[in-house]
Amino acid sequence: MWTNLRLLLWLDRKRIGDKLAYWLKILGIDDDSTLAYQFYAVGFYIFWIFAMWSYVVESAFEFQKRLPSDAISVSQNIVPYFFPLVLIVAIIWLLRDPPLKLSAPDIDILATSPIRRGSVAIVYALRSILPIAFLGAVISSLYALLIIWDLELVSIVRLSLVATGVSFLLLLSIGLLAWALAIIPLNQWDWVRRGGIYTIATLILAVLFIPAVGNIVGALWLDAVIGEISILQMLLLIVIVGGSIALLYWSGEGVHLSLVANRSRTYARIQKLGMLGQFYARDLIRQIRQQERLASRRRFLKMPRTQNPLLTMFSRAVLSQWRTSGWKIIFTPFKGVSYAGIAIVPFLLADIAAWQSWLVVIIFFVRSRPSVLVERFAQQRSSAFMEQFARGNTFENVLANCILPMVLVSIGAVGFLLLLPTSFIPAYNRMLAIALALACVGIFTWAQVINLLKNRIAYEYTIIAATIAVVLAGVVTQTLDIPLFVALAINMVMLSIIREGE
Amino acid sequence: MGCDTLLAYSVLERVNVCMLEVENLDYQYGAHHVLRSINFTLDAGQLSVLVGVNGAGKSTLLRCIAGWSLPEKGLIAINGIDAKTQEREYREQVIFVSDTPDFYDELSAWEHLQFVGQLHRIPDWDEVADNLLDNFDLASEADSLPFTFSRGMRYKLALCMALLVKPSILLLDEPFAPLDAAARDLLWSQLEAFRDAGHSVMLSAHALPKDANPDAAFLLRNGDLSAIDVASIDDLGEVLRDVD
Repeated sequence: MWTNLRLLLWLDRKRIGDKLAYWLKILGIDDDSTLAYQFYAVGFYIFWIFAMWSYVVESAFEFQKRLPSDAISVSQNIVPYFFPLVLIVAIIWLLRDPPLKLSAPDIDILATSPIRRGSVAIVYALRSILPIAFLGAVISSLYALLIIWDLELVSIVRLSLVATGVSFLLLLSIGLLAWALAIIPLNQWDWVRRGGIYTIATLILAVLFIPAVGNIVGALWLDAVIGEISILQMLLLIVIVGGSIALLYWSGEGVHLSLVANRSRTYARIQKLGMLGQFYARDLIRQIRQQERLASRRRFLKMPRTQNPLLTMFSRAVLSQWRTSGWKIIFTPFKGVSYAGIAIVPFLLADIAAWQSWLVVIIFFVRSRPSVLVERFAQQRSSAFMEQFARGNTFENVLANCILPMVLVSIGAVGFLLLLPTSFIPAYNRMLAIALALACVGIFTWAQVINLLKNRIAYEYTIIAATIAVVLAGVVTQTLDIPLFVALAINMVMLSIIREGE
Repeated sequence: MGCDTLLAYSVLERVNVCMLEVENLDYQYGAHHVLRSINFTLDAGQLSVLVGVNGAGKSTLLRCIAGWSLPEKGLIAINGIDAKTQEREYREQVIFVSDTPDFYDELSAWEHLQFVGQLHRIPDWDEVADNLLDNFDLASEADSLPFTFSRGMRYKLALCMALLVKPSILLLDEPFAPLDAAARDLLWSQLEAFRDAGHSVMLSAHALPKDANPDAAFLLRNGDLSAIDVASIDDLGEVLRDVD
């Protein structure tokens, strides 16, 4: 066990070292920097951290002064339940998808080796728990400061350090315990897998419904903070930490690494991209996750049999959207509600004549561009192989792919305005507002389509120029019909560009 | 250049109806000249092979013919339809199967064929699709999603889609590389049948199935294209090995 642990920790040290070198480079400390510069940089960051921490502590003190006098004592009654609550949330969260995941080299090397599975579980658990436990400990030490602020400085320092240490150990134990239970579904023995579920259920029920069980850990933390921790409680803390490690090791020993490797394919594919890759290739990561979901789900609905190409293209777009994210279809009308709201609410709060109303409109319109409307068309365009089968009129192509979300947005917009009381806004203005909102949605959509057709129209500039034209018409004329006319004219120009095709 | 200027030598006696014309085609990646003044024609019902070492520009040439890449200059026409000025009509004539074709993640293999069949109003598309899936050993995977397929299976599905549409010209980028031996032989026989039905095929390859006899072959080297006299060569496979 110890040899395996040493080997895995050495491997992890190398990985962490690489990551650390990357972040240090970002902070301005290179491997090839001179020793003097490294001393200077380290000193600077230590000073910076100290200054920041002082500021945070000072802010906590200021915050405490503004609280009602009994707020801290009331919160002390609630705090003991915090740790059991964290445990339950952690177990439920981790059980959604067992947390033990292997990267591609781990699958090839570790999973095929006779390494102790328990050691793997412990090292991988520590890797994910330690940063969270450290952060949690820092936050709870801040809370502890609120409780012990009245004491002498030496006592404050001592007790806040104790609070940090005890919080760290408790959070670490919670993490290890949650891991031990969450990897039970990866166990090679059927009886453990089944028994594990009952154990977890019993534990959760005990924590929830037997106050002594739920309270015991929280009371330990509170006693440590106020300097009244007993020998028995310290022993209990040691037992909790040791027991969590032992339980995780035992649970890890039963893990079937082939099962872990199978469940780690998606994780391994994403890890392969590297740190920068994961930041820049978010679309690829979304696609990888989406493929995993699609592969595990049953597929409902079918493409209708028809000889109509337009209907075929339309049904493909709907089917793709439904299978990728049915919720998106359900929520698309709410986009329409928000657009109608954007078009109408500023005029309710102020009036059409006020330039502030139009400022709000311009900001909201530019900020909430509806990407959902062109999602399927963009998908079709992104595959040159599939695109070549989608022959015929470009305009029909666009319509078939965008029509459903456009209809849903329109339904949402109309519904919102129908539900508004007539006293708020006259019926004529209401119709103009909805038409204006939908015309603006049209501008955003066609601008994206034109961009996808590679007509070299810069998307952002088009949107901003069109919105300024609409808003300017509104500000100058202080009406809704002229800006609507402008928006419709812009729509017509854009549609004619699309009609001309590529 | 007209179709009477044949750079490729036809093996079989066929009526030479010019299908594809490529004239003075130039293509550059930045400062690197990938294709230099390429000239050739392809007749209807001709099965031709494009050879060259890695990086010779085979895929680039096929992409230009397919209309996926725009050349710096030159003329490309299929049945007299110019790729530049009549793009929409041009694209209707050709299907290109790249070495790694992309599919819709959400549609099964069968639904891809249905999509293509219905989009092109192919009568009895389902029967043809069934046969193609059977022939390429994909029938049992018809309901699977293509991203779960191996590279070879994905290529087979792309071939099924392309053969279902029956374009005037079928362009294939290294079709034999991901396929097993049986599938390679099957593909060649399918391509021969496709050719016999009057369609043209141009494929890039580093090796051909045993006993495969293309009607024409072209060698791409340092951006220049030259015809290989297939009639005077006993074993084209040996030539391909020499080229590599």
